[in-house]
Amino acid sequence: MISIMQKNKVVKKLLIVAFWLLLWQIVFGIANKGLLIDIPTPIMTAKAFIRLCKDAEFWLSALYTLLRVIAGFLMSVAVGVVMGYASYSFKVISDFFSPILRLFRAVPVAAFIILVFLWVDSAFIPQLIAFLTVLPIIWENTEKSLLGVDKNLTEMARVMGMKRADAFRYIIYPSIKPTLTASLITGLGFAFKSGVAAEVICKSAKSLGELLWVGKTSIAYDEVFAVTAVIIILSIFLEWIIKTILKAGGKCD
Amino acid sequence: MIKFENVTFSYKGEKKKIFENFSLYIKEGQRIHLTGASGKGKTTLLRLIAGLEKAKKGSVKIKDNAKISVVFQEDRLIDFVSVKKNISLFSSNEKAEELLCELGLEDCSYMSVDELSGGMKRRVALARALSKDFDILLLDEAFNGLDEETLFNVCDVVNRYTKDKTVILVSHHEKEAQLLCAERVEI
Repeated sequence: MISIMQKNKVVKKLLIVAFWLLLWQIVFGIANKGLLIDIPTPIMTAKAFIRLCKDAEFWLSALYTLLRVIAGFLMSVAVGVVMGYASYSFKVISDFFSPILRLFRAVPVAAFIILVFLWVDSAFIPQLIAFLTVLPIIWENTEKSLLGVDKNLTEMARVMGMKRADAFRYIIYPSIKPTLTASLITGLGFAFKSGVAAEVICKSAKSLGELLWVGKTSIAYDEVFAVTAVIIILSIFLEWIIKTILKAGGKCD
Repeated sequence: MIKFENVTFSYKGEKKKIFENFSLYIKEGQRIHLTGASGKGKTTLLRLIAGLEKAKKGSVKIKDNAKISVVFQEDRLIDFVSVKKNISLFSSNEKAEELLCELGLEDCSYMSVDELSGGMKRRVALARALSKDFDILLLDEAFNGLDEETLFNVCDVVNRYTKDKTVILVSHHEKEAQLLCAERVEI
C-alpha cells in the first residue's frame, strides 16, 4: 500500500509537470498565431508521438539508440571504475592521466564527434562518443570517492583482520555509494546527450538522432519534439533502473 | 613476545624522530602500562606493533602468527551497521551478545552507533576488541569517558577476557593500570 505521504509526493510532482505543460500549451498556442512555422505545443507533440508509435521503424530506432548509449555507458563505467581504482592506488597513474581527462572534459562534444569521424566507422561513433564523454566523470569520481573513505576505519579493518569482502561491503561501498550514484546518473545523462548528438551529426542509420535530423530537414518540428521527449523518457527510465539497482545493493545490516 | 631492537622511527615528511635506537622486550602474557609525556611515542609504539607503521631502522619482532586486537584512541565504529553487527563482524552473533551483556549494553544491540553516548561507544569498541580471537591486546586510551563504577566493571571484564594474553595499555590514568595489574614502562 502506498502511504499517504508518498501519494501526496506523486500527486505534487504530477501537478508541477501539469503546470509546466499547461504553460507551454498556452504560451506557444498564443505565440504560434503570428508565426509562419508553428513551435510545437504539448498537444502537437503528443499527436506526433502517436503517429510515430504506429511506425515499427521508430521503435527499432529507439531500441538501437538505447543499445548504443548503454554500450558506451557500460564501457565507460567498466574502464572508469578500474582506472579510478588504479589512480587511487598509484598516484603516478593519477598524475599521468590527469591532463588527458581534463582534455576530454574540455573538448566540446561536437568537436569530438567531428574528430572521431575522421578515423572511425560511423556505425561505432555514438557508442565511442558516449564512452569518451562519460569516462572522465566515472574515473575521477571513483578516485575521489575512494580517497574519501574514512582511513581510520580501513586501518581498523586491516589490523583487526576484517575479511576483505566485509570491509568492502560495510566500510568502502557505503562510503563511495553517494558519489558513485551521482556520477552514474550524471554520466548516463551525458551518454544520452552525446550519443544522440553523434547520431545526428553522423546520421547513424536506425537511430533517434537520425529521426531528429529528418524532422529538422523536413520542418516537422512536432516530430523533433516528440523524439526529444522519447529520449528524455528513456533517460529517466534508465536512471530509475540504476537507482533501483544501487538501492537494492545498499542494505548492510 | 614483542621485541623492539634499536628502532628508529619518524613520521613521513617529519624530521623529528619519535624513536632513536629504542629497544623494548615484552614477554608473552605480560601486562604493560606505557607512560610518558604527550608526543613521546606511546601511540606510535602501538602502531608499530599493529603493523600500521614500519621502523626506519632496527626491527619490531612479534611472535609468529600472533593475533592482535586493538582499541584505538578514536572509536572507529562503523556507522552503517548496528552496534551488534559492529562486533559480530569480527567474531560471531553469540560472542557479540555475550560481550554486550557483560559490558551493560544488551539493550543497545540493534541501535545505530550514532545514538550512543561517548562512554557507550568506548564500551562497544572494547566489546569488539575482546570478542575476537587474539594473543595481544592494545588499549590506546581505551577507557576515556567512563565513570568510576563503569570503569571497575569494564576492567573486570577485560581481565577475565585477557587471562594469559599480552596487554599493552596507553593511558594517563594510574587507576586503569592498577585495575589491570599492568607494569609501568616509561617512554
